Amino acid sequence: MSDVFLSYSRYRQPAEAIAKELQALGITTWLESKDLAPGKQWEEEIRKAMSEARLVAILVGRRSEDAPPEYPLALEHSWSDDDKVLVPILMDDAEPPSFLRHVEAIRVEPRRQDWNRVAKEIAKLLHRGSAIKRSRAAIKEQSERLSLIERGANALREPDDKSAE
Amino acid sequence: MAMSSQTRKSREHFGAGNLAINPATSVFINCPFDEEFAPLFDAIVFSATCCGFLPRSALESGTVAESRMERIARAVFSSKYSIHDLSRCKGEGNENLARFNMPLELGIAMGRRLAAPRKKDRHDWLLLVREGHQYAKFVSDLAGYDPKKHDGTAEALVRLVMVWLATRPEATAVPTPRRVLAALPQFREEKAKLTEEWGDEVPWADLVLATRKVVPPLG
Repeated sequence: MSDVFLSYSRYRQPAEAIAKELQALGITTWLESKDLAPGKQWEEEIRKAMSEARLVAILVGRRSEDAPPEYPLALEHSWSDDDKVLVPILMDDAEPPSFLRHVEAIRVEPRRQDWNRVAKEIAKLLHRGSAIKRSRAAIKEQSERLSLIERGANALREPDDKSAE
Repeated sequence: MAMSSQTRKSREHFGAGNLAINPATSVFINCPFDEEFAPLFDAIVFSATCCGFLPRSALESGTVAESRMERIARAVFSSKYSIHDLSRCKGEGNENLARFNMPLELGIAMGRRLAAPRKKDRHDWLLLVREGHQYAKFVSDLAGYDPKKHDGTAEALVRLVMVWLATRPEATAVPTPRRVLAALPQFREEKAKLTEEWGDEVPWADLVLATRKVVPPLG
């Protein structure tokens, strides 16, 4: 199980450099080039790795004639898991694809291979995602407690209501 | 037949005005048109609109002199995308006959892909089958095309169609499948009104406009 899934399309080298920087920060990564064992079912493996990762980072280029096959899988995961963080890493002045337009993106300027900065930004988003997940869990716990109290209060009120009749 | 609520002057025609055809955002829908499949057909058409695409179908040109096959080929060739549901390619009825219109139309879409001179004009399709469907046995040439399997519910189809269309380069920002599913009954109500008015001959333009009327907000 990895913290970050890196989808790189034709940006294999930058993705490997980002993975290296993330590892230096103590963040584990999943990359097709290093983690997909030969002979394994591609889609099944990608699906599993994406579902286990807390954050899916997608390196997006300028050419967008074809949607990489990871796009539908990433969107599917973000729709079925509210805690999944999707992050477009925009290479070469690329614009995010429409399904990623509403999320925070990391821009990589052409010819500036500042992978350490990219890794730090990913780490920040990862920690923010964890914080949001913790707040969601806390809100859920609190609302469960409130509904327990409400049910208890209603149960206490019922005999009074009956005696009033 | 009762007169449409749209007057003759204000009537919108498919392929013109608000319903003008842009091949890059057109998606041809190839699935059964019968009553049994209708809830799934509605789900596919509505999902396509919610992703910013223009749904196309064999029904769009109504009953004109041109043969059905030519009309279908024309619609496929002027659509960058297509959705094919092969679920019903199985023995049915007393004679145990399968419907083969769907694989035939998928073949046209494949031809369209091969005929595209530039990569950016290349046709792309989504292939749908029911879980447990033995498509690989009767159309073995489809091996490697990775059809998406569904359980025959609108929920599954909305999700599959939206995940695919929302990630195409021409898609607009899309609402979540949850919102689309919540709005689907409204589209069905609009469709029911149209059916009351037109019977089995609901103009495709009116149906597409009905989908647009109830597209849910983003979120």
